[in-house]
Amino acid sequence: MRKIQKALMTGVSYMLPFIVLAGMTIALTGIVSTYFGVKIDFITKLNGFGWTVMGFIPPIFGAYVAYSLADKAGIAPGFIGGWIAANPILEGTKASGFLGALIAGILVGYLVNWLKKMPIPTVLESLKPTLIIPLVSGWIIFVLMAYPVGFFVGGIYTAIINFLLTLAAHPSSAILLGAILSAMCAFDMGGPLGKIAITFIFAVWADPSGLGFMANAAVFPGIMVPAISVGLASYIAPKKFTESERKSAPGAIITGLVGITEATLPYAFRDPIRVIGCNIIGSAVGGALMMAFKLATSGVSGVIGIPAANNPLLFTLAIAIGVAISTTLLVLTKKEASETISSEDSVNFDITF
Amino acid sequence: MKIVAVCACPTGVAHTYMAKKALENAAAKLGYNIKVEAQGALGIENEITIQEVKDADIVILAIEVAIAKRDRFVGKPTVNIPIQMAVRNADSILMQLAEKLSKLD
Repeated sequence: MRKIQKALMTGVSYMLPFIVLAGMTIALTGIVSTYFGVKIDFITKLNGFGWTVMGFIPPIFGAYVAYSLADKAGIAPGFIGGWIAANPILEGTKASGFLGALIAGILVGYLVNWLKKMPIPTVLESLKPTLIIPLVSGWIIFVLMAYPVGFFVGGIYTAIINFLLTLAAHPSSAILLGAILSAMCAFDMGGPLGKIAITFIFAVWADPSGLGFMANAAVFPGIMVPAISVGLASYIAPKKFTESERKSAPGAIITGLVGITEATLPYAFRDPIRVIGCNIIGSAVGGALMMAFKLATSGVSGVIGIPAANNPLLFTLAIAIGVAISTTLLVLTKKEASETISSEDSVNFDITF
Repeated sequence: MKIVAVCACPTGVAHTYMAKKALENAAAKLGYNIKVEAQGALGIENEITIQEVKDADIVILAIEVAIAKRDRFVGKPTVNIPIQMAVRNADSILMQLAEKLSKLD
C-alpha cells in the first residue's frame, strides 16, 4: 500500500506544475476576456494553450505513477496509458481522466516490473530494455486502456446520463437532481463524473422548460466549492494541513473562484475520504439550493459566470453556503497533519542492503 | 560515521529542505560527517557523487516520492524513513543508526 501511496504522490509531484500553469492560464485569460470585453486574439490563443496544457495532466500523471513503481522503463507506457485515459480511441468509449491515468500508471508499473523479471533467451537479453519492454508494455496498455477501461467508463457514462434524464423528467426531483449534479463535479474534481454532469447539461441545454440553464447553475457549487473550501480551511485550521498545502492555499482559492476544480487534487490525495466527503456534502447542498431557488445561468467558469445568472445575489449565496458547509466540515473532521507528531515518537527502522 | 542522505517530498518546496537542514544540524551536533542531497521541485541539489556513496557507511533515504539516480545506492546499507521523521527526530535517528551500525561491525 505504501508503494501505491508513494506512486500517487510521485504522480502528483510531477503533475503540479502543469495544474498551476493550466489553471492559472485559463483563469486569467478568462477574466481578461470577460471583464475587459475586448476580443484579443492573443488572449484567446493563450486560453487555448491553457486547455492544451490541461490535457497533459493525465499523461504526465500516468507516466510518473509508473515511474515510481517501475523506474525509467515505466515512463513511456505510463504516459501512453494516461494519454488514452484522456483521449478515448474507440467509438462508444469515454475519457476516464486522471482516475483512468492512475489505473494506467499502476497497471504499467506492475507490468513493466514483471517484464523486467521475465526470463528470455540470452541472445535477446540486450533487446529487452530497448525493444521488448517498450513494445510489449505499450501494446498491452493500449489494449487495456482502449478496450476494457474505455468501454467500462463509456457504459457507466450512458447509464448515468439515462438516470439523470429520468430524474429530470419529474419536476419534483429537481432538487435531488441539483444535488447529484453538483456532487458529481465535487467528487472527482475535473474527472469523468464531472464531465458526465456537463454532458448532461448540454443534452438538456435547449430544453423548453429551461432545465438546461438550471442544471448549469446547479453544477457551479460542485465546481467552485472544493478548491475554495480546502484553501479556506487551511487558513482556519493551519495545523490540520501540511506546510505545502498551506502554501498552495491562495492558488487553490483563486483557481476555485474561477471554476478550476483540479487545484483540490493534491489535498484530496493526501486525505481522500475527508476532503472528498466534506466537499461533496457542501457542494450537494449548494446544488440543491440552486434548484430550490430556481436559479439559472447561461454562464460558465466560476465567478465569471455569476453576472449571467437570473439572480446573481441568491446565486452567489448558494455557492457561499456550500463553501461555508464544506469548510466547516473540513475544519471539524480533519485530523492534525502528520508533521506535527511529537518528538517522543519512537523511531523504528531497519537497515536494508 | 559517514552518512549520505536524500530528501524528497511530493511538492519539493518545504519538507525536502526542512529534512535536509534537520539532518545536517543533527550530524553537526553529534559530530558525524553527512552530505544531504535534496531532490526538490527544481531537481537535484547538492548531488551526491559515486565516490561519496562509496565512502559512506550508510545511506538514509527520507523520501515520499520516487527519486532520480537511485541506482547509485545499490548494495549500500540503506535506511528508509518517512520524511516527517527526519524533520522531527533527526538527532535520535542518527544516534540509533550509529548504535545499530556498531552492532553490525
